[in-house]
Amino acid sequence: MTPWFLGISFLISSSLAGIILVFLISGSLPIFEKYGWEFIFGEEWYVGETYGALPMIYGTTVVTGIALGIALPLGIGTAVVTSEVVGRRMRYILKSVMEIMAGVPGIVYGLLGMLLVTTWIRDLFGLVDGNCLLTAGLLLGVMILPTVMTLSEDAIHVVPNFYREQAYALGLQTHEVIIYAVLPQAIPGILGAIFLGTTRAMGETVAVMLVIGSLDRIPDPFYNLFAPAQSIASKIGREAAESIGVGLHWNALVALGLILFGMVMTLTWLAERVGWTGRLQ
Amino acid sequence: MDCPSDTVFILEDVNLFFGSVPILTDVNITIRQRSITSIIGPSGSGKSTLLRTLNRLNDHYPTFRCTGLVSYCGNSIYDNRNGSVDVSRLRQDIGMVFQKPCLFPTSIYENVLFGVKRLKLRPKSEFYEIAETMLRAVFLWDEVKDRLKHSANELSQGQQQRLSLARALACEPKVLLLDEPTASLDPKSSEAIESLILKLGTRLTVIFVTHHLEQAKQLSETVIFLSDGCVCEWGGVDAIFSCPDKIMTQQYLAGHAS
Amino acid sequence: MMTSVRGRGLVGRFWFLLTMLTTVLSVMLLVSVVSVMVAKGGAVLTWEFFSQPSRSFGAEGGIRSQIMGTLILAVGAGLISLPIALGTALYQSEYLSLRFQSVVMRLIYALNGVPTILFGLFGYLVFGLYFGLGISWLSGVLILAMMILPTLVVSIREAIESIPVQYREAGLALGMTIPQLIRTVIIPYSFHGIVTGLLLGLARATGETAAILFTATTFFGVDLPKSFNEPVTTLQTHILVLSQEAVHLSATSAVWGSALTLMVLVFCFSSGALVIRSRFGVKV
Repeated sequence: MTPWFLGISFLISSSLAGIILVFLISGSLPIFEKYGWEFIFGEEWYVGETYGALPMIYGTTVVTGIALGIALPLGIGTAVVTSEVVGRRMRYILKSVMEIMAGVPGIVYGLLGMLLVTTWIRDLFGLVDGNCLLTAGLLLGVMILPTVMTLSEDAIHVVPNFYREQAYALGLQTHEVIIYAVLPQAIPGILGAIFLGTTRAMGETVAVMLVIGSLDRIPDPFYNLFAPAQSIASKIGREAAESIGVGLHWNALVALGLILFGMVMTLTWLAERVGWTGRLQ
Repeated sequence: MDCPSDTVFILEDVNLFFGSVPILTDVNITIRQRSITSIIGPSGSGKSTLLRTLNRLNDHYPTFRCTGLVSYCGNSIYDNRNGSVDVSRLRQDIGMVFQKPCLFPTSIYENVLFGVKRLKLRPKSEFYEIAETMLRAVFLWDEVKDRLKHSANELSQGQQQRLSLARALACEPKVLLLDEPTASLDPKSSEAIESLILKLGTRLTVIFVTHHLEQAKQLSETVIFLSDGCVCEWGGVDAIFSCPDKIMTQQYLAGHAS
Repeated sequence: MMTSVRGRGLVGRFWFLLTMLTTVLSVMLLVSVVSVMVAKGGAVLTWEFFSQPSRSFGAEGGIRSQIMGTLILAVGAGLISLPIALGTALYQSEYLSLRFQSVVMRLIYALNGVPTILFGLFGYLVFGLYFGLGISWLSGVLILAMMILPTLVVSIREAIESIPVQYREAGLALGMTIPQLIRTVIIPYSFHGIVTGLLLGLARATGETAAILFTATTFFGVDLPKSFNEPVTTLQTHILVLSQEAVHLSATSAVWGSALTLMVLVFCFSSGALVIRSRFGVKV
């Protein structure tokens, strides 16, 4: 183990993110040269004719939004209870369950969605087909729930105990102590958890791909969550194999990847801005 | 809660445990209104535990148990038989300052008003006035009046401790508990806190824990000496310091004097 | 941790009920995920299912090649990623200034944020086309190695940072050079972090589907690879393809069985990491 080896591995890992960015930019140049902003705001995607990314951007955003709508209240509520209400043994159990469940592969959620949840959604809302934005969002919500919960819990739990004691000594009740003395200090960590959960939901491919319906169109009306749609990741997952690394189709997929990369990096940057330096799952 | 009689706290046959480990046994003391009491004793003798029993702050340790009678203004505060003890109300009546100044990561102004605001003790229009009064009371007003909106963490340790005191006083407590309030301060800041204790003792009941015998001697009227898991001796400050009854007290006082 | 004193007043009670409700719901959701998997897939898990290759496009036979393929990719990725991650973490903590360390950590976090499908795109072009590996298990291994690199680096760094400064100073006071210090102090005292990171990385790599979907795997017709540029078949791909195309009932039960197997594999790695971390590591 000599320093030169350390230096090389260091160079590899610190440059990888940059290399991927360069790859994405250079790969998507042809599409932006040909279509410009049309690519981002175009609503049509027909291989060999025209490429527009808006439906996929829309799908990714909506699906992520639904997922957060589920994972945030449940995850943060559970984190508060785990850190502040239950005893030490129960906390250990809940934490372990969440940490283990955070690793359940996306494909498992995809399968559950494909074979069960789509049917439930279809029957529950009387739809023709259960493959829709709502189903994908629900699955993603459950999928990122453990991540959001366990990272938020970390942030809440590290708030030093003397703040709680001080607040209690002033006569505050448990819920007031949590809301006014504990949570304000845990906010950077909780935001970090939210951002990390969001990036995971955005980038998830298979769990979405199997249940979103894979229709490259913005639903009509646009707030119709029961309509089939398409997300960036699922679009790439569906078509990457066909495009075999050359031609405008490939460039369009790489450009989609660049957009996704931009969305995710913005969030990562925001997470760092709020002072989050947590561990990874 | 208004105290009908002259005594604020009465402790009768009180035993304190963590799990099955007794911390203090057979505690029998009374504390008069508007007096200053100090609790002294070697490390680990249960000084803080006794102090925290008075505002039920030990409740937050799952294994803590208290038997016997602890009464505040004639109400037994550990008697939950008719569910009548309002712990939150009790703690509003009993202010507390800890060894380390503990300020919330907000502004100086918000910290002074933390209790008042959250407990909605006073209307909003009075907030600024309360803040000024309380900061004046702890001689901090002149030092911070230009930077009330600054973070409380900018203050020195001594200022932070006085701010903690102001925050406790803002809730208008009748009793003030201080857990080694000067232990983490420099001599000059300690002096400021000490003179504040003396001043407050004329209108509040002050009970404080200290390691510093000289401090106990100068400030308090009554001294409680804890050792070996029980109240070894308690009484007037002169009696304890000039002619202690027990060998243990003599040894402790002598050991510290030398 | 403090336990609660039951809040008086309506707000407190309402708040308490609300948070408890979220907890019960969360736990129920996650427990139901596991129980559905066990209920649907548990019945097909027999020794034959694990030990036989699949036949008739998944409708008959077992999932031997799929399990092997998944493990080859994950373990291969771990083996490649581990030295690089270790080198990175050591170089950072021993040779870089604090300011620079935080810059590097940002880059590592950025890499962690990259969606897995993009590793697939990148790897397909770079390893598959430029390096001529094609759709092969080696491409897959390299792609997954990149993907799990941040997990390992962060975990190892966490452990290195938690080494008490006295140990380090004791070594330096004896006149050790930094490489000697790394060998005698840093690696032994951060060993739990190295193992934890590796296990977490393996868990991630085992469950990953998108990155290897069109770069390393094929659905049917391969067993163990005989050369570097052959694809493998994995549990992930098996589940993905079968779940979309299976019409046969026995194929459906095979797909549940495969998914349960995959989940158990992932759980083995991640619970291993959990046990080691709660025993040695940073207290959570």
